[in-house]
Amino acid sequence: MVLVLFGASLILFVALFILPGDPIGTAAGSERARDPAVRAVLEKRYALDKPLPVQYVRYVSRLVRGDLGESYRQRQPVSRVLRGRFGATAELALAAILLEVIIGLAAGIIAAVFRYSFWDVAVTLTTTLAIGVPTYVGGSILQGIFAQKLGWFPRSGRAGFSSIVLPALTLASVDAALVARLMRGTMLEVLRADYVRTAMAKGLSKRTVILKHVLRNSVIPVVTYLGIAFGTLLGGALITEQIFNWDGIGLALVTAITAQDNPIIIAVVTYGVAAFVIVNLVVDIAYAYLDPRIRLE
Amino acid sequence: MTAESFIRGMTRAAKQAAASDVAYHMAGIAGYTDLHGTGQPGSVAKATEFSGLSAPDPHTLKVKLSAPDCEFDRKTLQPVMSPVPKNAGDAANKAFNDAPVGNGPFKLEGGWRHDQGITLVRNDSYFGDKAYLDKVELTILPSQDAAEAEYRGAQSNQFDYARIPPALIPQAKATYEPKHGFISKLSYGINYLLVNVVNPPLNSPDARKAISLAIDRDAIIDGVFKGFQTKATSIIPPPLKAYYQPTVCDVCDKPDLGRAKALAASGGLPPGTKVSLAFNTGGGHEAWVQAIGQELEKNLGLKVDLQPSPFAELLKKEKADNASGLFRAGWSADYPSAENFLFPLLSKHSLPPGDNRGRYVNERFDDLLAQARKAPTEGARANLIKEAERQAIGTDMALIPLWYRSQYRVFEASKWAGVSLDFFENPSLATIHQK
Repeated sequence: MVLVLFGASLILFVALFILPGDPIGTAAGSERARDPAVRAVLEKRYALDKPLPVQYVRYVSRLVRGDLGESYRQRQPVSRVLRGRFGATAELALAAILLEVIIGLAAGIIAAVFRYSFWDVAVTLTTTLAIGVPTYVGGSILQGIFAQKLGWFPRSGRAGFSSIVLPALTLASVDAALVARLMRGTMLEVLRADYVRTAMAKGLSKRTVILKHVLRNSVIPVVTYLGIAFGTLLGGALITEQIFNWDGIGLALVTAITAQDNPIIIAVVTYGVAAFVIVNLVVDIAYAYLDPRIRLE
Repeated sequence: MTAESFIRGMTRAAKQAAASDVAYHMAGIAGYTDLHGTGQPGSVAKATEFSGLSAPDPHTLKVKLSAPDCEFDRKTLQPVMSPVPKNAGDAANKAFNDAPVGNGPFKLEGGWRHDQGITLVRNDSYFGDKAYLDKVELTILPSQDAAEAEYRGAQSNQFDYARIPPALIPQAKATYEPKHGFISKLSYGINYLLVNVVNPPLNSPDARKAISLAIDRDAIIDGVFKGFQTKATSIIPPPLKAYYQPTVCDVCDKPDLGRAKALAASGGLPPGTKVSLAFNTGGGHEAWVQAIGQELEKNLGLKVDLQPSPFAELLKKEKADNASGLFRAGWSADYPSAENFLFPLLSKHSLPPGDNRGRYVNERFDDLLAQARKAPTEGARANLIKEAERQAIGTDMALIPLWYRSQYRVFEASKWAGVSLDFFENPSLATIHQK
């Protein structure tokens, strides 16, 4: 895991270094060219006058001490700039995952149990739409209808429960649709399995069979998928946070990219990779719980 | 608070290690370069004290300038020259920077709550007219989309005062003007086209005048800005009444295609010439830049090469040795001074890395500005500055004025009165009172 993190930060470092641009060429929020004396001090402070390998070693040696450096734009420690924003993004991601699971599972189960019914067709149609429409468009439409026109939810910003509904729904839409499809597919497969037929033959009600045997076995691939989907969730957060002005790390990253605030970019991406690795670890552990065959002795 | 408090504050900000982007306002004070450094490779700041500042007694601050400057009093408007208490420490002292103490009409309560807001309470020991408001809550919004969030917040009564996203200005005027809650003001700024005057094709005054005459400012203001801009026919804007010359740019007023074509021919700008027009993305400039490009193509037969890029890239392009053509630009004055429009943008002393990125150099112009700095009376100064503007804009067309900087705000007029915009385009908190 540590290796993955170092690799990610190294690739980023090189990539940001190669990109054209002049991160400290202009004064923050001004059209004015920077005073050469100020420029010289800042270049020295951020070691931008040193060759790339020296910069990287300096960065890593600070990183292991928990020092992420200083934002070029805000001249504040990166950790301070990002502190409150992790919570904001985590809140949004959790709400989205919750929605994905609830909506996705419910829709998938209904579609599988009542196969070829009206509900099944409706689920197929809605999920196709949700997967096909880009997050940016979908989010803007939700915002236009439920915030602008109907005024049911705040248009943007982060204040209270009602403000999280639309962003979470936007962020969850694609994955919820994929979860629904996956759930429907695996459940249909499991429904045809021998042990289900046996259970039915024993005279158990359909309801008991589904609840006791089918669900638990169908849900395993979905859990795997949710682990992988966490990556796309982070990507989706970039767009969602932008649409709804949700003050999380996604918005911080977008702002940092436009301002060439490299320390923030590197920190956010490194944290993103770390979160991804951890989530997948949790998923592996969850397997063991769901499927006794892979439990460690 | 004594004169020493001012010396402390100014020295703190001017020191090289502070790396302050606003320290340059003090550049005219003797000893500034020793304290601040020059940025030349290998140069280090020589001093730790501001040699030009002294306090003969606690109530007298003596400032020695390195050259005569009769506008120095206006520069003291800049917050960088504020006093600080003894415990302020150096510029890196985060504890003080998050809870600064100054000498204004309000005090900070509870420090700067990063990314959330600040609370101001009235300073009852303020030396001037006391503020009316007991308390002001300022909310910090994410910079993305902030104007939109402010305006929506004002509509839902979350905020009492807000900026307006450009697209919603007509709607805001319609809603708030009948309630007397709409502020519209020309501020101390100008939007213009920066021109590279050194490299072809726009290295002759005639060519630049042809460009200006081929642009229909009124049509663009009506079409793109829905009327919410004011055509610029000078570079020194109207709020500077004693210096404002509404007719200094005779080629900025109405488009004149016959004259434009004749000037283009004499200025070495025949139809088919390729002219680049560079602008920064993300500032909402696309529509009007495109409109200007189309007019130049239609009216002068030029081949306009639109070059969008991020802002930092635009600056880099302007500074390149082989730069040519037109660049979108804007300028806001640092203090209510006419010279602050001419000197930074057009003087030979401001050539890159300064802000004269069009590289206009004219001896007579520089000479007039130097004389103006030493002028004994305001009237004499105004005459010299006006003459300098006639040279740079009227005769040489060193840059192309487009529209003055306008500001629009809304506020909750059912509750508040006395709201106006100050020089820095901030609400005049100290004069706001309940209705």
